[in-house]
Amino acid sequence: MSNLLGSLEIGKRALNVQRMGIMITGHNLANVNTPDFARQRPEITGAEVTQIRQIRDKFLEARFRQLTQDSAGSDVESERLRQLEVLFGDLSDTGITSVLSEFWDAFSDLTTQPESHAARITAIENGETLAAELKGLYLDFRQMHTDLDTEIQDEVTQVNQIAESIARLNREIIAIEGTGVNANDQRDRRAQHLTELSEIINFSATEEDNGSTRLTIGGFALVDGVNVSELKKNTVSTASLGVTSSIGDVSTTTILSEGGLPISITRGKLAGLINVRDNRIPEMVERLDLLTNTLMDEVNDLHRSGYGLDGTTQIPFFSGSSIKDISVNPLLQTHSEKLAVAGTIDAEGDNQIALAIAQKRHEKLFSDGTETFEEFNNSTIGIIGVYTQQARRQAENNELLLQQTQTIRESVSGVSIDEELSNLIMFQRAYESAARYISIVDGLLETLINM
Amino acid sequence: MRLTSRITHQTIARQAISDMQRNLRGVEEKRSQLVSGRRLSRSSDDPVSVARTLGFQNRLAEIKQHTRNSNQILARLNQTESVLDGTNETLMQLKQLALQYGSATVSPRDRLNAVEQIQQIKQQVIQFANTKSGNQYIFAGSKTTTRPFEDEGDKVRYRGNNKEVSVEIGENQTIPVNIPGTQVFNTSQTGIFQMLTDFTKALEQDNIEEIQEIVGRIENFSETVLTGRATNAARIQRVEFSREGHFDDEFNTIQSLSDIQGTDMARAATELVNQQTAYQAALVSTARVIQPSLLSVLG
Repeated sequence: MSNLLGSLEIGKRALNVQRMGIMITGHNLANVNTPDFARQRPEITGAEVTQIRQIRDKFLEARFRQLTQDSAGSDVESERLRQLEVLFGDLSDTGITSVLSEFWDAFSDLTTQPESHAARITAIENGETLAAELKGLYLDFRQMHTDLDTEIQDEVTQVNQIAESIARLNREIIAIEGTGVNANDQRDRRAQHLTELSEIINFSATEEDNGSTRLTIGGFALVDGVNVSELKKNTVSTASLGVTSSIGDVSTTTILSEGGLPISITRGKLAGLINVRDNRIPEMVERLDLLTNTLMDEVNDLHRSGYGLDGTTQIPFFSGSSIKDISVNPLLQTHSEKLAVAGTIDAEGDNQIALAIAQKRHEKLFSDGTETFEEFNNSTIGIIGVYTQQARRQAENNELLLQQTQTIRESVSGVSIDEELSNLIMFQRAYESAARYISIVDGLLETLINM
Repeated sequence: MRLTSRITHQTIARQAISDMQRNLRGVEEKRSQLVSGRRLSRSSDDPVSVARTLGFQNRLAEIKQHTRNSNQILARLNQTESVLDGTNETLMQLKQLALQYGSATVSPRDRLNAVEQIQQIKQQVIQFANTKSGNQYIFAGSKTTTRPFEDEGDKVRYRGNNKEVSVEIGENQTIPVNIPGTQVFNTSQTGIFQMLTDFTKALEQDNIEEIQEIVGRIENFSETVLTGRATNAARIQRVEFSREGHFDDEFNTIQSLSDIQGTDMARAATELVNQQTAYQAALVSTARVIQPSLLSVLG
């Protein structure tokens, strides 16, 4: 009698184990499309599910996170650089290249008809268009700098929020796993957060014995167990830093640890954004600034030495001090006769100054006397093109590497519908067998009772 | 470790999406090259070629400007030539008159009657000297909007200056476009207008010797005019020569430009077809692979 009752107990346990198996399979199938979900397997010993284990490879996870950081960084950099490149216009007929060319053309036209008001007005207007284009580019770059800075601030906020979530999940995991049960769902959610964080910033993650994850950026611990040490945003104007930058007085955010120490950001979206903001944009603006200053100096020197139709002399063609405020002398905008075309007074057909200005087109004034205005400008466009192309290639390479790693990661941790369905049938059949076993033991008991 | 042996449906789906994206991107790239006729539209497409393209574009703009300058000044130089031709003819006519009235066979009365003719010739010469090309007086030096020769009866006053004006017709290549007025139409005591005044006086005073002397002076002036004409003709030749060069340069530059940035249509069309085929293959194979799972078989 006691033996038969024991058999019934075994049958019950068998049913439990298979039901648990079916439940885990269902859970896996339900999460087939959940990102960063790791498939689960029951660990069965002695007709009992002792643990539900996640199939996850620690090293693959670390590699995946690092590649996600690289990929996100180069992606954002390539995208922002393309926006910079677009500012220089299309290769067809717009942008600074054609405006610069038209400026020289107008002065050359003026040499053939110095006394013509129409030709004078054209030269003045083309000068204004050139000034507006340069100033516009400067403002666009400045705007982009500001936008990038805002974006950087938002990303830092995002990092702190994710760090909070991870610390909270750490707390739950420590609590749950303290009771001897695996906190699989919490671990999945944490893995998801780690991927999100990888898109933004470089960090390394190590798992502690109690199941919590420790996150460090450089030597600085962002999350340590249940504690978060937030990143700080330090927004200051370049002027207050005592930095004279060609981009002028703009606010720039640096990222500091909670203790106020600088953080080294080498990967992720933040690294890409910071690189464009702190290196690429200033370099472009510096080149444009040099172009503008040289233009103003050269043209103004000549213009001052010349005479207008009404004898006006010693006035500059461009007013303003740099790319920030360049425009054509307002006096000229209303009085084309004051445009100094002539090199001598009282000679309306004299074109010496216009000719000298038009000939500045050929003078190699840049890069140690190796480039003209136009060549220097072309180089600027070439440089931004090279940066953009490099960033795009880097982004494509990183994307490829990331995909390969993702495929390997999925082959370890991903849910396979076919596999789960096979398991489901296996558990179903085992469940049926156990039920059959119970019904037979039941029959035996009945026989025994009716004896 | 058999890491890649396990393939899940998501792996297939993700890979399929990325493959299709890549193929579709290729299709779009070729399509846009075919439609725009340009292989390059941004610097990053090919920075080296783009830098060369921009250089050629600058060059083209310059060539066009120099051609425009050449056309503009050719009008002026041609005008100058016809004025100098006309002046010389007038001088020849004048020489005939001087020879005719310097002969003893002509009566003093006829000489007196000829004064009117000389006055007309003087007006004719002043008119030549005040010729405009467009809105520019061509013999006014650089005072091109001032009517340069003013008839004050007994003398003619020059109100222009003696400056030459130069224009650029090639890179760092300039050419003077005017002959300062007094170089041809001298207003001094030894000039052409004084000679006309002297001629008139000689006719009035019936001074045959003076008239005969004037023949020589006319010949000298004719020499001056012809020298000016030769200088001007040489300039015309130079401008025309350089303009010819610009036509060739322009053609070659446009050719180089389209070689660098233009789409090779046949090649792009073939590549488009290839990309399309690849895209379709990806679609078909994805559709086959992505549907079935054990679920559809178990029923």
